[in-house]
Amino acid sequence: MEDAKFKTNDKNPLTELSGLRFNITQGETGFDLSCQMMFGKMTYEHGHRQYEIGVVRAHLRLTLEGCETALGKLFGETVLVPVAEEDCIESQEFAGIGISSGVNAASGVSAAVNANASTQGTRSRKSSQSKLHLPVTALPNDSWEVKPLSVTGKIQGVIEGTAIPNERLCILQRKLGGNRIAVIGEVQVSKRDIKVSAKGGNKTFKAITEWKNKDVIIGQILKLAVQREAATSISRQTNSTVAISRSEVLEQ
Amino acid sequence: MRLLEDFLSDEDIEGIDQVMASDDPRFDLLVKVSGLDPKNDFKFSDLRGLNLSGSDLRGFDFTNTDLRNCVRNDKTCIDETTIFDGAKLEWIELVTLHIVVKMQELEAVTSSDKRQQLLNELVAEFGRTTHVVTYMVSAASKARSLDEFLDFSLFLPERPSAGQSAQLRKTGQKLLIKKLKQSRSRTRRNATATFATDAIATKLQQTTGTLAQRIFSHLADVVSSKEQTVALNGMATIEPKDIEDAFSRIGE
Repeated sequence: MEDAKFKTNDKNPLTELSGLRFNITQGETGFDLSCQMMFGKMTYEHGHRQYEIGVVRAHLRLTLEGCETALGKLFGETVLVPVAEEDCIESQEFAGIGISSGVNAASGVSAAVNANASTQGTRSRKSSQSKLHLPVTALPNDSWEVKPLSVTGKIQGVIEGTAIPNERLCILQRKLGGNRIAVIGEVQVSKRDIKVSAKGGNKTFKAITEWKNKDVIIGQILKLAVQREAATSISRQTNSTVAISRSEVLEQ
Repeated sequence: MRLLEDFLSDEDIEGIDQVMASDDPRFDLLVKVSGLDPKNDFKFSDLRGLNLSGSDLRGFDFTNTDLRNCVRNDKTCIDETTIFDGAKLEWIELVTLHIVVKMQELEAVTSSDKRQQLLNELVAEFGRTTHVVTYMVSAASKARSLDEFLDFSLFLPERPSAGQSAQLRKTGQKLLIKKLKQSRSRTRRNATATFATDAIATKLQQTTGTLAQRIFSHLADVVSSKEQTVALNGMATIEPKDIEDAFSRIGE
């Protein structure tokens, strides 16, 4: 059987903001879909003010034709682990013997021996669970969520860096009766998750009250320009989300 | 590689220039000069912390927008044409914002004159409302010097509640003892403390209808009931002990 040949096509119109690239290779049990996904910040300077544009959360979503993801390990899987609870009783036994003796006028020498024993026990219960917060987590139905995390697991700032460093995302297998394989991956962000922030600037109360509104409105202009550019190049925009990167792999 | 500047339209840049050059930070006026569309361009956005006081928000669509911590006042115009479907709303009233700012300034001030000026402005602008009195009692109770405590007492009502009086009495007594102790330690003579008492008595007389005046009237009662005063036909000297007694009567 002839090896399948694939052609890739990447669309990353917001070059500083996000980049997505796919590659497919024949693996042992199917096709390995490798992915490189990166995020960064765009900057804009105008009239001594600087603005940074980034995304605080993104989703990678796959559309598959002629194939499906095979059962097996996915990138970013969070496997639920059983919680271990230990229940132990520690006990200490205290034993004592008391001897008393004396002279009894009637019977002569008398002796009494008292023995007592007591048990003291403490019960302790220990349970432990450790949770690993992954910046990229696999979600059901061929999608992944990306968010910048702090040690507490809370989202902090915008995503900056390589989310998936050219690793296998999943294994694909040809669908029975399926035609050519086509894989389309998109980095989608909620419009609310595109963050524009003014850098530096004024710290006085008066300046903050004056510039806060101006910064937000300029931020809206920049954000809409980003959305417009993405929509023009990738032509996929809904009311609430916009695709900022797209990679396609088509079987020849 | 296309940068953000490359996909900003001429209209975008014109809008940014107009917003930056505007002398009026009012939100709706900035939106007008920016070229943004109130019906479409503020949906699914993060607009936290905007100052919407005085703004005419009729016709704005904030569907699914985060508007938490936005400031509004009684001149903010909102009607049935303002859409908040799915928006996150937590308004801050402008009046509250000004009080908060004034209180923050008061906490940062170090000179007695400046503190009295700010307290004067606070009471003149917002009146001796429950909120303002509660704040002043709390600030006076946290005072680090007797001077600071007396500054607040010049603006506190004559008869605070029983709980507030107890709080003020405790702090006042503590700071007075500290002040008298400092005066004595300078010359190691008890008589030196008399100079401090003179200054305290002078300050207590500065206002009428206030806690300070009430303490001064307690002081007058203490001094007039002294045998020495009676013997001298009303002529008396104020001793440190008299001030201590007067402070112990706060709340009576």
